Amino acid sequence: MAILRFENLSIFNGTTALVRDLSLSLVRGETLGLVGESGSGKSLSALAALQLLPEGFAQSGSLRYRGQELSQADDRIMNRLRGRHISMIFQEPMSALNPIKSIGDQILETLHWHFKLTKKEGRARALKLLARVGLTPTAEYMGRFAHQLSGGQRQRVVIALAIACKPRVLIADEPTTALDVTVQAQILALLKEIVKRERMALLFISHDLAVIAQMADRVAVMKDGEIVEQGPTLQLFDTMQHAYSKQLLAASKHMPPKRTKPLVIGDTPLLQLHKLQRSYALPKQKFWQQAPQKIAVNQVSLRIAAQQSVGLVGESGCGKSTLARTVLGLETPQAGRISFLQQDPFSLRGQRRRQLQRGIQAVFQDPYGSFNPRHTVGRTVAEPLYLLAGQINGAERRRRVLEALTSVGLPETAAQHYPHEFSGGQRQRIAIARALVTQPQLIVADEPVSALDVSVRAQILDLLADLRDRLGVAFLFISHDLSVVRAITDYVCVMNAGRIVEEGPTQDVFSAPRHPYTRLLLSAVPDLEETLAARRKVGH
Amino acid sequence: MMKNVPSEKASFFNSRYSASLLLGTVITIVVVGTGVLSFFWLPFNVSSLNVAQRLQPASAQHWLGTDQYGRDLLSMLMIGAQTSLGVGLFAVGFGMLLGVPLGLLAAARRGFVDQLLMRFNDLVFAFPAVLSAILITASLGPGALNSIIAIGIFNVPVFARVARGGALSLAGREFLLAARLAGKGALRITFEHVLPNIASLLIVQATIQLSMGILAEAGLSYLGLGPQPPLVSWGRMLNEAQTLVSFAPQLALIPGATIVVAVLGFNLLGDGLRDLLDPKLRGGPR
Repeated sequence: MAILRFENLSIFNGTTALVRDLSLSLVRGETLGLVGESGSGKSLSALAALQLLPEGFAQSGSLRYRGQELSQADDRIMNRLRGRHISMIFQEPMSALNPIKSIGDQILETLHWHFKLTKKEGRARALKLLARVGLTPTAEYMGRFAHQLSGGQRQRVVIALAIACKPRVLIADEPTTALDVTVQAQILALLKEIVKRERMALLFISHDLAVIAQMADRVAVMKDGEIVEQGPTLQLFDTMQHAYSKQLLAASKHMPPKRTKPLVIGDTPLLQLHKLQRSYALPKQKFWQQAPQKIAVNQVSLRIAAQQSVGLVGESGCGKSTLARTVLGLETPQAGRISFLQQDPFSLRGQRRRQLQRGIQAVFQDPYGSFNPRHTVGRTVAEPLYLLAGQINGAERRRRVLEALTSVGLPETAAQHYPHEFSGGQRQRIAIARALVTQPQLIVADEPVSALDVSVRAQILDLLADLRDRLGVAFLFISHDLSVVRAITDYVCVMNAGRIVEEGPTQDVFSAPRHPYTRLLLSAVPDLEETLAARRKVGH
Repeated sequence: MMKNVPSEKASFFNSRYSASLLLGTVITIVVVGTGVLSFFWLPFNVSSLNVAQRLQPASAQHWLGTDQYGRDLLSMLMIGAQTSLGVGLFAVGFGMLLGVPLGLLAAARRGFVDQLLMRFNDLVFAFPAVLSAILITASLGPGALNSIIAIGIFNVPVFARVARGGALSLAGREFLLAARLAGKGALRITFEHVLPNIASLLIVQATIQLSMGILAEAGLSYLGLGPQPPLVSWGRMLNEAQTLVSFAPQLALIPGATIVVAVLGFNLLGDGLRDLLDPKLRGGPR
């Protein structure tokens, strides 16, 4: 019998239906994967299961937990159910934990609320829970605060909180999206093991098809608030019916076209870094002590040839963004040399520095934060032309802006509109247009597609590949996503703890990684094809 | 089976145009409007005395009655708005002109400059504003200009803090990095990118500071340290009514109520504007 059943559940904000006629059921010991792009209503459906919809939202239809209707339930009933019977793991562990309470206190609070345990019993249970999720079960660890833990450790604490009362239904909303791949692999394995051992029902929400294929027994595909297709995982992937599911699958497997003609690398590099070093002062522990230093970039040497596309991969905090900012001239290196077109940008001033800066531009990660909301797209794209002030007139300026917009596939009329009028993918096109407008030789792209949905991501990757071939721009492509780097670069550097641990032509590094860290990174990436092949072998 | 359907009433208060904004706007328009009107037209001339007409009650001729010198109270209130609003406005302008650049400088330079400016700010903050304004006007001498300076000084740290906080919340946003990549200097980035994005914060703060400025001016004038006769101000009217308060209380009550209403109006307007301009409270996608 289904433990949790959604029947024709619709969710409204005012008069707009954000989720329409959702019908799903979960049985004990089963993992149901809910997949879809942003705005498809996945998270709202999860919140509805806990009756935690935002203020002003309304629902119709039925939602039953072990036969009990929840859409009518008042807070008194829901408070008893939440945590004890139905529990949830959120995407961002930092904001899911209380920053001013130790993790031990937070676990104890949950245990106390539901079981009225004594302090001693509670502590024993909390220690067991920490061990259960793979953390050190000591009193010292219980006294730590969220900010003293790494991302993976925090998510383990969040899981410990969610399973503290042995709930029958666990809802995980993108539980690994904010984590690095190696940590993601650990967290997914932990979740899988817990669900199996405790025979929980898991509703697993993700935008990542590979992760879903790995985790779920059954999969439901959501689009615009509706379930377009659902079925057992292998069956669904192998005999996909709905056009949207097929499109989603195609987009997540999508690889941008390879170079049309082979790249000839000349003798003089476009950009050369020699033993570059950059460190930060960390907050002082004690007033009279010297502030400790964190070395973000440690003796990094790197060459990028004209028209070459170089990837830089590594997990969060490895120093790749600091390196990018140094290359862009936004941060001064403390040691080492950097030369672009045989000149050191940090030794130049005024007009000559601007002339050099014209050759390096950037595309940033966040398609929302990278524009001044009060400037039109035309003004935004024209901004780097300030580097050419005095060299081009107004007509040339306008021509360049329109040319840049056209070359990224946007209409010329876009120039008069404001960034908020565009979707995430279109905004990233605007960001690329801004980088192209000075006709640079090198574009530094810092995680340019990681904030985008898969179908949009595929389009932007195609665009970048097209620019690489058509305009002959060199790229320094920074990403934590190995598949993206593999698809679009000629040469790749793997960075770990401030150092480049392995580098080589992309094909070679990916097919025969030499450094253990590269191997670890590669093995941690969930691969859709491999997962499905393994499933076919066991028959479900 | 609908539930949580927002009621009509709730949606009125949730709407971006709140009741406080509406009320605040109306009061502000009336107060500022009368002040502006007094430049062109007054029911009676208030610079000449007419002792025969002294202490008249409200009548068809004198809507609010007359004071001990026979001057029309309504005309006094109208012309007093010039002084009270004028001193408040100039004081806020003084505070903004000094405070905003200091706050932006602190945010842009960080480190030592930031520490120095902000600790100095704290120092100014630590003094009770009105008390120090009294000290300043007492030492510089009473008068409209000195009142503006005295009240203005205490607006400086307020605006410095708001500007610094706003600028820091933008720090690290990628559009500022993009502007630096475009070769733009700190000053240009401040004018093109930072100021327009913190303008709404500053406007809200200015509205609230204006109400405090009016109150401070009234306080100074009441003590005789504000604008001097023949200038009329609301605080001054209170001061002059003081000796007669037992047998002509309306002389104190009417300007007192006017000050309360004006201050309330600007405060409501400030609150309403904050709700209107605060992106966190804004509905819909960002």
